[in-house]
Amino acid sequence: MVMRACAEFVMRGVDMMSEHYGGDFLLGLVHVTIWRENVRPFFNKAEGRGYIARHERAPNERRHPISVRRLSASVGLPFETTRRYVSKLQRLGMVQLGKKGVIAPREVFMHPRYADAVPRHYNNTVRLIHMLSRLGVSFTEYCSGDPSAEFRGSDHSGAVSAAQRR
Amino acid sequence: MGRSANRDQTKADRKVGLGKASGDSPEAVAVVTVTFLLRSIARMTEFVGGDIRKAIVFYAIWMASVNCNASAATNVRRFCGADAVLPVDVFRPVSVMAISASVNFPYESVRRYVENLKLRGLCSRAASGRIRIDGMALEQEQESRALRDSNLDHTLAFLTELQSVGFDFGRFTPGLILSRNPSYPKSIRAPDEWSCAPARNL
Repeated sequence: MVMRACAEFVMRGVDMMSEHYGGDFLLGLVHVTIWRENVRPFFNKAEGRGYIARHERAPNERRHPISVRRLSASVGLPFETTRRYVSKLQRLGMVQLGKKGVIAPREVFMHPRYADAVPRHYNNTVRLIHMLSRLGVSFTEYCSGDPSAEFRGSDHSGAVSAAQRR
Repeated sequence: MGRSANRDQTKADRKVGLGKASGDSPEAVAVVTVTFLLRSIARMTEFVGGDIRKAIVFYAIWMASVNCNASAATNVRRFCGADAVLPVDVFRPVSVMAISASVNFPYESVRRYVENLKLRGLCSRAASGRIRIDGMALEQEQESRALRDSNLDHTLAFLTELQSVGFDFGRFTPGLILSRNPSYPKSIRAPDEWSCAPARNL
């Protein structure tokens, strides 16, 4: 059941990407992966938390470029296909290609077209957690305490896997 | 899923009272969400043989076949038992045309993907000619079990990441949600054990 809830979550995300990128889901997937790889190195650090707290987007010079080859491996598409999608994104002004690789500049995500992307991803998550709770998964362990301690408990996998079997 | 589905989703969110909690940061949650989304797609792509479009088609069939809500889960639990393999009749068949429309891929491509998935035993054709996932095959195949286990790990990692960015889980205790929803008919109301969720994990 957990997997089925996750399938619905994924399809909502896919639908969202497809809608934002003119019906081309793969174009959205490549763009979102570039953005994710750009901000991932500092997202969980103080720098990333600072941007979030100030409701700012990370400046372009702080974004970590990703090479097309690494992007291709990350997305799971052939290199040539990925390169074509990157070129298309570049033509549309949605990515910048530099010596070290590609970045999705902050200005792109300030466009009104993407204004609802964050709230919709957030709602998608809330919906997934709500559905999991209705399926019987308890989140009491996640309500407080040290996040890093979550995986140390042996009963967590039992909690979700029992729901997943259904 | 069409665009209207997302609008319906937003309406549904409002209807069930789901919204931003005071301590949440939607931006941080969105990053974690996208990461989980990409991981899930990558994992499913690997499972279906490396074709990302086929993975999306499989997800669409899966979602269309299973009415994933609490009442369905409750009924399945009542009639099949907690550990039973779901009978094939539980899965609702869906036409290839509907799948094609929902994922916005050409009909012919979707038909080919479906044939390929059928050959792998991941979905089957109902008497009506429509397609549904094969729950039995999914339970029995070693690869499917590996996918399920891997999904578990990723879901747990996702929950931990959400916790690390301050996502408010406090709103989601099963007993609280169910008791807040008096509109459930008695026949499909969740069993009593769901109401004592704080005491047990399921």
